[in-house]
Amino acid sequence: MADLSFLDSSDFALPSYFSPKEDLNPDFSETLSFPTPQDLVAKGTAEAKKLHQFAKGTTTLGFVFQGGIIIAVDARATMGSFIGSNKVKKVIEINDYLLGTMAGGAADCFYWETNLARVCRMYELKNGERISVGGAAKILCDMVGQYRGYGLSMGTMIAGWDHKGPGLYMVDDDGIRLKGDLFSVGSGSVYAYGVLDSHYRFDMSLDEAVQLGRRAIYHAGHRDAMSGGVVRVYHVHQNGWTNVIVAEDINLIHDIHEEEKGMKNLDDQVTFKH
Amino acid sequence: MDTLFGFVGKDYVIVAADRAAQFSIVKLLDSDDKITELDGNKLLAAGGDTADRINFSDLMQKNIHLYYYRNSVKLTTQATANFIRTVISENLRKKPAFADLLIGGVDNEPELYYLDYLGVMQKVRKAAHGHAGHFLYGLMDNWWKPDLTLDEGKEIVWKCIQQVRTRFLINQRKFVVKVVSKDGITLLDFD
Repeated sequence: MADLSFLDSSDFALPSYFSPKEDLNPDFSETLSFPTPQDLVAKGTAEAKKLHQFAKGTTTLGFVFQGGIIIAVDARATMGSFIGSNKVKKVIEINDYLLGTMAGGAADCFYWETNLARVCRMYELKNGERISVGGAAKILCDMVGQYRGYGLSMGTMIAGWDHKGPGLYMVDDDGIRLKGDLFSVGSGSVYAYGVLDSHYRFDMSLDEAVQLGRRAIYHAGHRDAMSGGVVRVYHVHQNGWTNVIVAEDINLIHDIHEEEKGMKNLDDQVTFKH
Repeated sequence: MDTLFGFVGKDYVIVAADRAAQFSIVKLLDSDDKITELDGNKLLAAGGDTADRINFSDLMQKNIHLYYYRNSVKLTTQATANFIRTVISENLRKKPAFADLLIGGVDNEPELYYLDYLGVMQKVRKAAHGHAGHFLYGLMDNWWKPDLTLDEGKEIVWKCIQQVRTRFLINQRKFVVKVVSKDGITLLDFD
């Protein structure tokens, strides 16, 4: 007789907000004989995490305003507490009118977004017209959604200009795809949100918008250990995209910021008597 | 955690959902619409995991449309709810989706179906999903009575929204409220 013990399911997990000991009658002895959805995803992700130690250590942001879309990113790559580089390019130029940002696993982002570039080009050749931003985001979302629970780490924003105007989509390795006017992704996103939400207005000028993106990345890079290096800012408009700020050192921005506020040497503990 | 609630009235079903799209501790969007319109006379409200609820409700909407294209006739609300429940239970041990649902529609009578991510389905008069839903059951049980007019229904929805704003720990201020009746679907303005 074949060994059928593999059929005995030993996994049992409930959603985090449901605790059977408190909520159920103590005499209730029937349990679910199969793992619940969260358990399956958590198990897959936990196993995959042992292989790849990723957290989305970066800050990327994007917002829509009257002049198009601003994309601003930092440039730090970390492996645990080791800073690999401060000059990484986290904006992937998918094609002349589409940009993708990179947060999470560098290889995952780069591979899937470059694959997206190939698929978008095939679409153009087959259909004789450019793909819409929403369509490109949907293709990317479905591609990575198939690998849900396998440990992919990718939090990206797809920005572009199509027949409907500017479009900004946030696509995640969980399979999330959301259209919006303002997003920030990465470990430093929480710091960037504070600055963005304070100053964001739809009717900003191009200059104000670029400065806002630059400033939000600076604040995130200053506070978040896994973000830093240089700021890169891109502007997406009707005719494609422009790299407005190629690389501006966050530490230098910090010095400028301190001088503006008159805080230079404020905390200096050194006293020097001539 | 998404808040969904709904109840049946005299000749309508009213369904409400909060508008926050959640991603760990960040609220990505303040303006998300979690109530999908199936077929022009049925509503599907979905809450739970952000990716799953959006993908699952889109999939169900397209499947309902496909049925119409193939058969030139719309499904009844009961058939729709049972179809969706079958999809959930078939996928439960293969590729489950974490999405709690409320299905509302009016054929002859207004009908509301409570549908869980585990495949639990029940035709109900009032229902709620999510942590905040716990606050609303008592409230709805207290104020609901048979044959509610639309104005009375709106009053109850407003009480529920205020209760969530007052007592729920997580900030959920904005809600989208839709009414489905024999004439179709209307969006109500609650601010």
